Amino acid sequence: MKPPRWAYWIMLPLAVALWAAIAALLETPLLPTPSAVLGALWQSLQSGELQQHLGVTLRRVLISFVLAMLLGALLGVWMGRSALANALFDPLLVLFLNLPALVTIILLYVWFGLVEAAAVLAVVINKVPNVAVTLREGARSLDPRLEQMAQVYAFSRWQRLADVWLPQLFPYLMAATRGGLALIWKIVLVVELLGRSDGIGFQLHMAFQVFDVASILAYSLAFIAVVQAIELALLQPLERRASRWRDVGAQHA
Amino acid sequence: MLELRIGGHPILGAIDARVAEGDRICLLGPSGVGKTTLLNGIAGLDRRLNGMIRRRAELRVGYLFQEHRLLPWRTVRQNLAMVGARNDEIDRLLAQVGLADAAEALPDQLSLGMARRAALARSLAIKPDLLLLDEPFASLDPDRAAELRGLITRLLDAHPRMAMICVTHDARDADDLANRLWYLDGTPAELHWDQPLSARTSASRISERLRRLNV
Repeated sequence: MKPPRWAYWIMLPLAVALWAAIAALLETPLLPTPSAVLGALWQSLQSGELQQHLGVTLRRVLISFVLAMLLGALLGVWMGRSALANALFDPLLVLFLNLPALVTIILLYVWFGLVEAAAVLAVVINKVPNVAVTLREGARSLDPRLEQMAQVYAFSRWQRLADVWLPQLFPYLMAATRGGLALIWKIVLVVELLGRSDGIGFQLHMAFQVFDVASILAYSLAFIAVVQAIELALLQPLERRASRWRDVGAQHA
Repeated sequence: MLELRIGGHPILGAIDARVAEGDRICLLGPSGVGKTTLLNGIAGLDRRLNGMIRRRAELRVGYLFQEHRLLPWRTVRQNLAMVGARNDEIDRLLAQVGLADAAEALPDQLSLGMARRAALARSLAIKPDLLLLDEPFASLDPDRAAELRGLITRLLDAHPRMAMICVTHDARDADDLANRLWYLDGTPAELHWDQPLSARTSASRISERLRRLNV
């Protein structure tokens, strides 16, 4: 059963109202009012600080996301298709899946210094195992009947990849993308907080040092807005486009 | 065009047979005996049969699987284009199998019978020397089955040099389509009967022979 539309518009305004009431009651800079947060947001927008640091962070997210998806997908599909590859890499995968992100970040900063490459590499290392596990599942679920068909009709390597595998792997790629973005942007903030001198994480760090809660909330809001915009403008249309053939089948069945 | 010298396969026993141009073979036998395994082997899909099935070089094999095995995310036209058919060939083939209006449909929009005909069109699109049909009439109602049987008969008439191996349960299919009969039985399965059919061999006589073989 579908819930009524208005149900989506209840809790969020309620939370904001509650926040405003408590903030007005306490009157402390440690819990600024919503309007004070908007003011801080507006200020950093006008000074250009927000755009600059947001841009830097997004670039790091993008680079590490692309690298992690690429490496993770290759590894995952390989492990899903080859029992030997799976036996070789599975213990490593378990190890890295359980390695706290903070440990990777600290170790890489210690070994390579506080440089950009170490920051990106730390994020990639944290994400690759998740992508690999998801894509391994996808590779294992590839329909062997379509494999036989592709072999009988002598499909080229490219046809197999683009026309047989990719459509079947697509839901897994989307799941890895969703989980990936959510995880990566959080790790990127930690990486920036610990060892970079720009980006949202760095700004949060600065605000933390002077207990500037309004700025912390302002940056968080901006970040949430950007992540949601990516979801709505990029991921959802992509998903709708690629799964159109499924709806057709469901209607007919 | 095809030489089978099979031995030491877990499902298939000693099988010694050959297929020549224009052979129309119906492959009969109890279910689960290994008919599809043999068909897969002939199509080159069973590694355990490597070297035991010798195919003429460059032999083109069209395979109509039990399920249509069209790519569900591609239209019928794209599915045929995928195996190398040009657009005008696709139109001609789809008209032949009665799907001229379904070219732009997705496979899941088609009925079972239509999807099977689309898959048949694809197997013909590669201009096969050998056509493999795995239970082409299964799960079709009698009218649709008769229609498809007529269609396949016409296609075979149009390509006299093409060989065919058709797995079926029904001796009547052999009557309509085949000029040769293979009967597979036993564990491991052996080719019990490799028999040319004359014009006088009727379905009832085939059935009688099969009864005597304890089918």
